[in-house]
Amino acid sequence: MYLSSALSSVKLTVAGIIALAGGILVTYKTPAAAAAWVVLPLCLLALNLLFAICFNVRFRRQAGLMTFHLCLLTIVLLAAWGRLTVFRGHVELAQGQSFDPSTVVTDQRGFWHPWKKLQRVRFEQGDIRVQYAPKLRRGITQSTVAMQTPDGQSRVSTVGDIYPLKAAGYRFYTTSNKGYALVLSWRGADGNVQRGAVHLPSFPLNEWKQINTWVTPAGTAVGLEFHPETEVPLDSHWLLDSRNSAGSITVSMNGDDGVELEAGEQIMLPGGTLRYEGPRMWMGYVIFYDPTLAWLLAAALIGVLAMAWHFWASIWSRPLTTQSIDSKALVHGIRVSNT
Amino acid sequence: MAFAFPIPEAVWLWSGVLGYTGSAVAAWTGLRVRRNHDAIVLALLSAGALMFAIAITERWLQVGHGPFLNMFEILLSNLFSLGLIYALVFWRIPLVRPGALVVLPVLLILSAWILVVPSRAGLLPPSYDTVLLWVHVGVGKVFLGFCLAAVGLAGILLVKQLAVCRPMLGGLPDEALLDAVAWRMMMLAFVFHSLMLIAGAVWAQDAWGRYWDWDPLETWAFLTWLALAASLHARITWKLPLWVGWLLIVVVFVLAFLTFFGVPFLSVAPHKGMI
Ligand code: HEM
Repeated sequence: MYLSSALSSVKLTVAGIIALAGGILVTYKTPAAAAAWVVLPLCLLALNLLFAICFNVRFRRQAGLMTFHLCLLTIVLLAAWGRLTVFRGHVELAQGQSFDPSTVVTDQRGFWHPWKKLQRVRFEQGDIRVQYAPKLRRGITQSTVAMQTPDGQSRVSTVGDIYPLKAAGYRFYTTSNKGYALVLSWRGADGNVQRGAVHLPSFPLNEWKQINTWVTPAGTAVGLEFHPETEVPLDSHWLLDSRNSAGSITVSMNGDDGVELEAGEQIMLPGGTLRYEGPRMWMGYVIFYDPTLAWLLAAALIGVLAMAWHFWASIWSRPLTTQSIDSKALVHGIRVSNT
Repeated sequence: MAFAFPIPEAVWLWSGVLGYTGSAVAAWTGLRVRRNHDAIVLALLSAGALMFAIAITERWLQVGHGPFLNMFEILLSNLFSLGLIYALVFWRIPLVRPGALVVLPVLLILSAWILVVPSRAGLLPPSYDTVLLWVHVGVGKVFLGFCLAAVGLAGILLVKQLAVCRPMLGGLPDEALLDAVAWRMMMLAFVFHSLMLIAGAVWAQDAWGRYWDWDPLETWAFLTWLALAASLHARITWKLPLWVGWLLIVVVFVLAFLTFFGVPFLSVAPHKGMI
């Protein structure tokens, strides 16, 4: 009995909230600090809330207050579930390339994340357009993707900025990270042809160093430098448009001056022939998965509505007491005891 | 497309500042000469808010977007919204009026501040092109408006506790009554603050691919919300002396003020690194 009243006490709530605020400040100031600084006070508050919901008479009498606090508890539980199932990652996709889950770089993965779901995501990267205002200020990003529906149909849509691509519960957000990729074919001594794309650094951020190295299937490291035809104007509006991608490359070995190739041209290298097919663009996406989002929003909205209703029904709609009486007998201007 | 206006934005800005200054002077002289200046206070405050509204409209047409980007625009929109909300509350709820003695000087601080920050125009990032921006910023401004009305009352009640000020403020309505009005304002503030956090989280999910990431603004807004919740609980469970409650209101307001004007000021754009 004593334990339940101690655990359901509002005094403990105040202590818990202060501890939570302290924990948040610690992790804010020292990002490396353990998550326990926030998690432990949250657990204490959740326990406190659970006991209060079970034992506090005020809650039972006031449905709005009860609903609000139930929603708070639901939010904490959902957020915890979200942490356990969350997935964050990133991937780069070149035009014409199909999304391949094995190329995704994982940034955060909850213990219970249903990994297999990502295998269900199927789409192909299409055209990319990014608007720029003077001084290279990025505007709207548009990325065309062809989604494959479960019945094998292809559905084309344009995503970008605040409109992510949604598939199998995942959200793919375009980023400022995008650029050119060089499509290359390699014909080995055995006559086999392989095709692939070498991604160059983000554009126009790294306009001055559109270079990368690539090791041929025969094991020779070559330097690749791209010379985009696109001019990057600094003081006017312009459009970075994948449909206008064009430019030559310089292929070099061992730091020599290299050979310049236009799209469609080829060069003999040790162990095979390298053909430059032409440039494409790639888009960098961040990937996010959290199955609790819609539930969190619902719980939060219901909670606020319930609290507003509680305030209205039990406090604002009641007249303020105008007599001058001992202030301790008043809560929110309503007489609560006769002193 | 840029418009040419016969009266520059700065003129409306200065007129707004003058309106608020006149309103503050009217409130304080009313107290000194023991005359009710409520009508003048309200008229000048409303006129000031109208001037700021015109300044915002003119700027909007010139730069092509609303006042959401830099410190100048944040101050401008808050000068308008706080003035408007406080004028409405002042008009409809006579018991908040004593708080004007504190509220109007706070508005004057913001007025002085806006006169010294650069008024450069920026470019609205694509993530701002959503109705969620309006909901988030709108409910946030309503929150701050109610919080300001509450801190006005708490502030004047605290000032009244000082022996030197007692004779001048002796005629205030019953303290318990003003206290109750202040806390009712704080409850309204709580509801709108909660809505602000929700709308912000939904927007952050769309704009940055995560609903919560403890960026400076998110952290301080959440701490403000916690401080308000802790104050409401502490007041109920301990039946605190009234003055402690007033101090708690001041603490919540200071946190809110720092969140709205301090954090974006330190990190240049409202959510640092997010544009
Ligand atoms: C975590 C454990 C919590 C417990 C056990 C708890 C308990 C309570 C109780 C018993 C009341 C009614 C008090 C009364 O009127 O006598 C109350 C009111 C309230 N609670 Fe909580 N609470 C908790 C957390 C929170 C949190 C985290 C928030 C918001 C951040 C919150 C916001 C409120 C509000 C706004 C009221 C109404 C205050 C009023 O009527 O003035 N509570 N709480």
